[in-house]
Formats: sequence, structure tokens, C-alpha cells
Amino acid sequence: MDEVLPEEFDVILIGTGLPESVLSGALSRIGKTVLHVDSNEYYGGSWASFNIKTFDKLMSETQMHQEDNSNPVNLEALISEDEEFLLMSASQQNLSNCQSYCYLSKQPVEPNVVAGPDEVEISDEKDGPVDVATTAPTMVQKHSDTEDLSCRDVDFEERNNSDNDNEKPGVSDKQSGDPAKEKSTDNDSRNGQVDAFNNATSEEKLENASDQSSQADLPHKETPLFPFYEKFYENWRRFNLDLSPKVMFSRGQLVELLIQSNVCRYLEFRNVTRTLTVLSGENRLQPVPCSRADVFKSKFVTVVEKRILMRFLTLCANFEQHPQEYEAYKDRPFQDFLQSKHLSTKVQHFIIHSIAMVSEQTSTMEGLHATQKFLKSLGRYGSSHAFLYPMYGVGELPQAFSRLSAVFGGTFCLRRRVIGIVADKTSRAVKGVIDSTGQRIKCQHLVLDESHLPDICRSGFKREVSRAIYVTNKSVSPSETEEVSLITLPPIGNFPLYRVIEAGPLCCLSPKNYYVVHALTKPSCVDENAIVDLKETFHSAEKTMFAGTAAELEIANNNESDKQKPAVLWAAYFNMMSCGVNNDSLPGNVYVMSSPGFELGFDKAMNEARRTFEIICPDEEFLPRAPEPEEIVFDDEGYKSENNGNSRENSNEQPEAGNGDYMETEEDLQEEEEPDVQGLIDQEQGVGDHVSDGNGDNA
Amino acid sequence: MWNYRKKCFANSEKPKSEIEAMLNSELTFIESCLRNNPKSYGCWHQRCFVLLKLKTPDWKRELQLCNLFLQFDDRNFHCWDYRRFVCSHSNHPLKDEIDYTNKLIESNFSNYSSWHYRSKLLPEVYPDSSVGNKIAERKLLEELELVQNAFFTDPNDQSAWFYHKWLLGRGHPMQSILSLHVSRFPSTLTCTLRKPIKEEDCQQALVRVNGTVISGKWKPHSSACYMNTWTFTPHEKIGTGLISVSCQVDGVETQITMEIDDNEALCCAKNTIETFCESSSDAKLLVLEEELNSCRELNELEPDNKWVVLTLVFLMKAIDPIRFFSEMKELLKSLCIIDSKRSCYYQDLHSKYAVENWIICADLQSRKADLRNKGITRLCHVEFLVGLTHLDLSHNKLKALGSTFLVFPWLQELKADDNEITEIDGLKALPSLITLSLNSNGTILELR
Repeated sequence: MDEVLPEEFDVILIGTGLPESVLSGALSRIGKTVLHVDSNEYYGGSWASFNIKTFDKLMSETQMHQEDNSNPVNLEALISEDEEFLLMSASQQNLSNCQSYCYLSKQPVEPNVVAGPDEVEISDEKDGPVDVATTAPTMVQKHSDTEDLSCRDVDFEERNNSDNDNEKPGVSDKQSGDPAKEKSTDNDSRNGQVDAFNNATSEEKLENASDQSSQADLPHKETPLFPFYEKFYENWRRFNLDLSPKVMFSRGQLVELLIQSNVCRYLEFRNVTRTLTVLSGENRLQPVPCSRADVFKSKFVTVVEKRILMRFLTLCANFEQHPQEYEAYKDRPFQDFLQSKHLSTKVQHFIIHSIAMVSEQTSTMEGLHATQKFLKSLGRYGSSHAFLYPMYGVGELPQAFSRLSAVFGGTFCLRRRVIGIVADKTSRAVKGVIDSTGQRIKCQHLVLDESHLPDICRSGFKREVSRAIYVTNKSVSPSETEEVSLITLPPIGNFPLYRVIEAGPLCCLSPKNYYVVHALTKPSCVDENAIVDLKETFHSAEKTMFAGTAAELEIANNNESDKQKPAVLWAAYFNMMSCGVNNDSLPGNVYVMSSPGFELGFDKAMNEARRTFEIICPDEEFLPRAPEPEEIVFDDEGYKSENNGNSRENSNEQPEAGNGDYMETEEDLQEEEEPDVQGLIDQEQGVGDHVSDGNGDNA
Repeated sequence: MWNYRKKCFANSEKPKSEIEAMLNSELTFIESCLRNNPKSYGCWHQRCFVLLKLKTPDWKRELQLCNLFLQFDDRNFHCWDYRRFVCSHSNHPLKDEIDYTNKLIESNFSNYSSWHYRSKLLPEVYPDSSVGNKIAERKLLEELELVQNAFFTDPNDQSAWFYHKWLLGRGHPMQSILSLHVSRFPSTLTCTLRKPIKEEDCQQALVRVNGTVISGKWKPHSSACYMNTWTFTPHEKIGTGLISVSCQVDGVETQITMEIDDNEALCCAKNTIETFCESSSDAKLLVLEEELNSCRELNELEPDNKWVVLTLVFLMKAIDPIRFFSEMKELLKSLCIIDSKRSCYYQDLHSKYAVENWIICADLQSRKADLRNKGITRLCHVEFLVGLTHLDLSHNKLKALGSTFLVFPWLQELKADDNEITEIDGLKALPSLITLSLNSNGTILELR
């Protein structure tokens, strides 16, 4: 995208994450001229969703700096004496420690030659060592060579350090310990493909290998436990994997905003149909009774517990009216308050971890507010559901708002990097930006996402969220109908709290028979710079939810234990980074949007967008209702493209929009408006083209 | 309008295939009408009519239609009715229907329609071998547990409590002869049955004296159509000497032996706890006891919830009405305060239990009843008391001696001192009454 852009905009936004996109939509909507750029080739930034191939690629590439192919820009020609230039961060360091694995075996090529597959694989490995899509898997295949990866990690870390001195202590740690450790685990998990044949002492491994080859001999007689690698990747487009999975509180700000602005017409949603958790001392997921119907149904609590729970929830629903009930506990931990209400340990667990979603030590007031927030959301869409999840993943949300912005004349430009900000030396106000093509563009206000912050405005990096994504062969807790689950795994021993969202084909996150499990946890803050083995971090969650990886299970073959639990077919791990903002060094009319963070819902991001909007346009309405395409007079280029978008709607009807949907529709009608409208986004389209109809504007 | 359409179908002379097509399009039409007004009697009736007209109606589709409409409004009784119609015509497995109610109840248990449908289905799918209109015990216990979950989740919801009451309630009592009275002079035989019967049924009754069937005429005790007490006047007088009289009526039979010197003889059936409540197996008793305990807990958690208290009473009654009587009395008293609008109901309930308990323990054969100080507001189960000659109802809370008192043909002495009686209509038909005491009562309003 090297087109020359217009010279001046009211607002320039850098990064297409959710808060930026909401702002962009809101500003365009009231007639501000908006330039929205993103150096990525996809929308959404840290909020994006990807198909599985793209995700693999992302995991293997994030450590590398983006190649800056553009010609060096002659800054002196662009900046006058009384201006200062703030260099943008050269790379987006919002992901770290990225790894992805596929645990599926490759379809045997020459079934009769025992050593055949291995040979093929070895050669394949040589051919494409990094690119996941073409790498042939061994039984357990780490897509990017581990050693390589850790080296790259170090590389990355070092480069990081050169930017920021604070981080130096961690480096030696990592270099000495980690690669070796990783290597050993890697050897284990590879379970003798090449190694086994080279090392005759490893009998067990040999056996496994021959097991596998004998299995390969009879590919048609015995159905393999798991699909072959090729089969799995055949449907790569049908995966939608979120970088930042979140769920929407049905009465949260985002839902209100979607309805109010009519952006909901670009989107489709599913209810989160159940909440699960694990009670201490158990290794089994249990449904959490949240709604009245859940409480009634639940077989895990006694009738008396049910009563006490219901009483408590009824109290929480309008606790403000009964101050005498909690007055004494106002400043004490929520748990004390629960105890005073005679709630059993089990029920306390449900309330703290799965309903209020706070911790034992949270104050009573905070706990009550959190519980109330949950209860308010309950029953808005479907009698016993409190959350919605966007179909095709969270990545659809920023795109929907970007679309609104584009429809109202916003100019979008992907793959365009802003290299720096020009600010007035005396007034400390931003005058414009300079992009990688050397064009200087003027603006009144500048909105940045955190990862685009100029280096000098940063106050240190930290891991904000540790993530794991799994693709499994069945639900973590199979039931008759497909569910969308929100799972809380409370901290046990040394392991942290995990939040997990599981969804599958129903939300179009995966092809049929696969499920996507997102796990989030807060990295322990013991040592910010210690390199943590993320596999280790998620070990406890994995043990609770899964039987093991497909590769492990194939070896164990017919192991009766944990038959109920799913197998992990594919997994990815990474950290999401965030950086502090040094406000002193930031010009006044620059607004920084935070990264998605650990928050389960979207309220924080929505608040941020709204507040920023109110600063930029103090007297304007935030996202008033956008008219339907048919309400628009057909006289304007921008609106024309909207209608084009609309025609795509028909070809896009989801087959899943069956009875269940109908039901929801009916319930919605009792509400004010109907957010469950057809998705406009064609799933088959590549990432990044979604808002293309809006791009016509900047041509 | 619908009728006019019906006539068109009925009188149409078009070929059958064409009518079939018309009927099918009528179904589509009705469906669209129902979407507009899902509670139209006419539409649903028309649909029944059309389906019965169709040669091969698609019942499955109709059931799905019901599902759809019940999804929107799970208390649409028109649709429930229609659903029953569909099920009865389609051999749809009733077990599936129970599963369906399961589903609805799970999603919303405050829906008496589903509970009610369940109460209709269960006795058919799980019939109890002994008593009609009841369900097999195993299933009953499951149901008790289910409904307990509901009322613990929301004790203010009536549907669950009503269903619970249905589960506890006994089936219809079996027919039995409560008492048989024979008198030589005048020659009569008086038979009192548990359940009232019609005259036609009574005329088929057989009276045998020493094994020989004798003919005569049955007369009801009053002019009502259904009566408990019937008097038989034989065409020939009952002879002297030791005789054995048997009476077979409405499928039950009893026998009485009359000594040589006696002018009359009375035989009353033995009454036990089971007379007024269903016999319970140990397993069921255990479950009920558990339920009683959890309800007590619930009562502590939710003091003054009338449903809880009332159910406590019902449970105690089901477990052991005599052992728990004083406690039941207290609970019913508290109910009168909690739910003062229904205090009369609770008082009557108490009266009923008091009389029942008395009957269970009493020697009816002695023909004397002492019901003093029972706190009763109403005399019920009078059919058990038909044979009495002496009845003392003093120190109670009776307000009237009404038509229920019409049933004592041999009552000689009636005491009802210290009551609140203002009406004594029932006394005019006591043929044998000699002594009547009504001290310390209200002003008798009128005696017609």
C-alpha cells in the first residue's frame, strides 16, 4: 500500500485493535475525518483471530523483526526546527515465547516400508524447517525446531534488552538453562523418530516406532485414533483462533454499544451455554449452577445448598437495598462475607471463582458488585446464559467497528507503518505523523495502541497474559448438544488461576469434530525476566482438561483411563506483552489504548474508547445508531459500498442458524433490539480483506 | 368462520387427492394463523379437525409444531391440549413425552403445565400394581427428589409444591363397606360405603340372609344422586334366630352375624392409619423422613414460608399422622397466622386430621363418640360415624351443625356445648335424637 494518502485528517489511529476500532467508528460516525493505519496485513492487532496456518506462521515469525523494506526516510526534510520527532518502536513486541505444536502423525506414504515414513520426514524436515504448513510432522512434531526457536527467543530478548536496560538480568538465566531444558523435553516428546533408530539402547522408543509402523501397515483395517496431519490441515481455513479470547457480558458495555450503534448487524453471536469449574481436590470439570434452572438441575449440590445459594444470589441481585446484610463486612474479604451467609465451601467456590470471578481476598463490596454484574447479565439472551461470544471469534469485533468507520468515510490502510510522530517542541502537541513511505500526514489527535508507542514513552515491558490455545478432538466435558463453555480453574498449589473458553463448530471456530480451547493465565510476577516454560505453566490446566496429546495417547494406545477427556491435537503457547505508558513524555493529544489484558469481558476497553472519544469530541454523541443500508439515500460512494456489502449477506447465511437461533431471536425481541443479526463477514475470505469495501474510499 | 371452512371440507365433492391437498394447505394456513395468535381456540380445533380428516397425517410434524409453540410460551394450555391430542392419536411413546417434560422443567420449573402433564403421564407409564391412579414407588421416589430440588431452589414457586402434594396424595380410596347395620324390627339393613354410589349401582347389590339372596328395595338416605349410606327394606321380614347377613355391593362384600336375642347389630370395618393415607414401604418412609428433615432445615432457612410449613404438615401426615399430630397442630396454627387469608382452610385441615386420628383409634362398635376438645371447625368423614348413638362435640369451634349431620339415623344424644354454632339445619333430620345440648354457643340464627 504505497498510495499517497490525503495530507490531513482530524484523527489518525494507529493499530486496529478493538478500542481503536471503536473510536475510529465513533469518530467517523459523527463526521470526523479519520485515518486508520496498521502495519500488520490483518485487522485487529492484539485482538485479531487467525486461521490455523496463519497462526502457525505468526507463532514462528513474531520474534523476527518486520523487515523494513521501505527506503530510508529523509526526516530532516520533513521536520522543521521547532518540531521534535518521536521515533515509533521498530517492532511490535506484543507477543513472546511463541510456540506451536501439532501432535498428529502424518499419513503414511509407503506403508510397506518400515523405515519409509521416517526417511520421508527427515528429508521433509530439511526442506522446510520453519514453515509449519509444509513441515511434515513426525509422531510428535514441533513445528519450528525447538532449539532454533529458543535461540531466537534469546535473540529477541537480547534485542529487547538493547532497547531496555532493565531487562538484562534475565538473559543469562535463559541462555544457560532454558535451551537445554527445552531440548531434553523435546527429545522426550519426539519419542524416537530419528533418535530411536539411531540409538539402539532406547528399546521402548524402538517399540513405539515399530508399533507405529505396524499401525501404518494397516491403515484401512484399523481406523486411527486421530485424524492424520494432512486431514487436519485440510480444513485450515475453518479455524478461527483468537489472540485475546473474551466473552461479552450480556449487559456489558459492548453489547449495549453494539445495539445502540447498530454495529451488531455485522455480527452474529452465540450464548456461552455453560460455566464449568474444578473443585479443589477433584480432577473433574463440574457445571456451575448459575441461573435458577442450573441450580434446579445441578446434581452436585444438596438441596439445602441450593436454597442457601439461591438466597444469596437473590440478595446480591439488589444488595444495595439491604445494606444491613453486608455492612459489617464492607472492608473485609468477600470470602468472610460468604462464610457469614453459611454458604458451603463448594458454593463459596462457585460464587468466588465462577460467578463473581474474583479471588478469595477481594473485598466484599467488590465481590458483591461483580456478582451483581454477572446476575444482571443472566437471562438477557436465553434464560440461563450470561455471556455472548462472537461467531468467528473475537477478531470480528474490531473489524465490525472498522467497517462502521469505513462506511462513514474513514480511510483504512493496512501494511502501512508509521515511523514516528511529529510534535511541536513548545506546545508539546502532535502535529502529524510520518509513515514508512516518507509521507507526512497532519492530524489534530493521534490514537495509538500500546504496541505502537514510541520507545521513549514506554516504561518497561511485562508479560501481561500467558496464553495457550489447544485444538482438541472433543469437548472437555462432552454433552448432548454442542456447548460453549467458560471454565475457571482456580489456583491449586503452585499453579495459577486459569480462565478457559472452549468453543467449536457452533461458533465457527473450528471444523466439525474439533474444539478450540483457549486458556489464559496471569504470569507469576516473581521474576519478570525469567523465561518461563509455558508448557509448564499450563501443565495443571492440561492435566485437568485433557487426556494428553494425540501423540502421547497413540503410544499409550487403548489406555482406558481418561477416555472421557479429549486429546490435544494441536497447541500453541505464547505470552502477550504489555508496556507501561510514560505519560510525561507523551504529547497531550496522543491517546494510548491498552492491550486486551486479562479481563474476561470488554468493559475496560469500551470505557477507554468512550473516555477518549469524550476528550476528543466533548459534546458529541458516542456511536449513535447507524442507519440500515436501505435507509441510506443512494447518492454517495461510501454508502454504495455499504450496499455492496449487504448483497453479500445472502450468500452468507450460516447453516447453523437453525432452531436454536430462532429461539434466541424470539427472546431478543422481548429485549429492546436484536443484536443477533447475520454476520457479514465471509469466512472463506482471507484475513485482512474483511473491510475491503471500505477501503475504496482511500483509493 | 372456522365452522364454515369445516363444512366446505366436509361437503366438498372434489376428488380425494384434491381434498387432501386442500387439507394440507389448510394446515399451513392454520399454522400462520397460530403464529399470529397462538391462543386461539378456533385455530387449534380446526387443526384437530383437519388432522383427523387427513388420511396419513404427519404426527411427527405436529409434535414439532407443539415443541415450537411451547418454546415460545411454555404455559400455552391450548398447545398442551393439542399436544395431548396428537400423542393420543399417534402412538407416540409416552416415555418420550416424559423426557420432554423433563426438558421443559429443567429449563423452567415454574411451569405447572409441564408438571401437570407429567402427573398425567407418570401413572400411565409407571403404573402402580395395587392402587389405581398412582405411580410405581421407585418412580415416585425419583419424582420426590426432583421436585424437592425445585422447591429448594425457589420455595416461593407454587408449581413444585402442588406437584409435591400430588405425589404425596393418595390415589382415590378403594371402595369398601364401612359399616353394616341390620335390624329385625323394623326390618332394615343399612349399608355405608366409603365412596358414594348411584342408585343404579345400588339396586344391583345382593343381600343374603343365611346364604339365600333376598329381594327388597334400596333407598338412599337422602335425595342426593350419589350417596354413601343406603337402606334396604326387604320384601319379607328378616326372621328370628341366629342369622348371618351378607351384603355385596359395588364389588365389595361384608358379613354380619346377628345373635338370637338381638334386635339390631352393627358391624364396622376396622380402621387403621392406612385408611386415611397410603401404606408406605420402608424405603419410601426413609425417603419421606429424609425429606421431612430437609424441609425442617428449609423451614429454618426460610421461616414463615407457608409452602414449606404446609408441606411439613403433609409430610408428617404421610409418615405418621398420629406420632406427629401435636406438631402438625402447631404448624397449622402458625399457618393460620402466616397466611391468615386461608386460616379457615388450615383449621379445616386440622379438623380433618383430628377426626381421622380419632377414627383410627376409636371403637366405633361402641357407637359412642367423644370428640370433645379437638379444636375442630368442621366434622368430616361422617360416613365413618353413621352408626353412632352418642356424639359429644363439646368445646370445639364448630360454627354450624349443617347438612353433614343428616346422616345419623340412630343418633340419640348430641352434645355440642361451648362451640360457635349459629346454624343447626342438620338437626331436623335426626330421627332418633332424644337429647340435644347446645349450651354456650352463638345465637342460633334460624331453624328452617
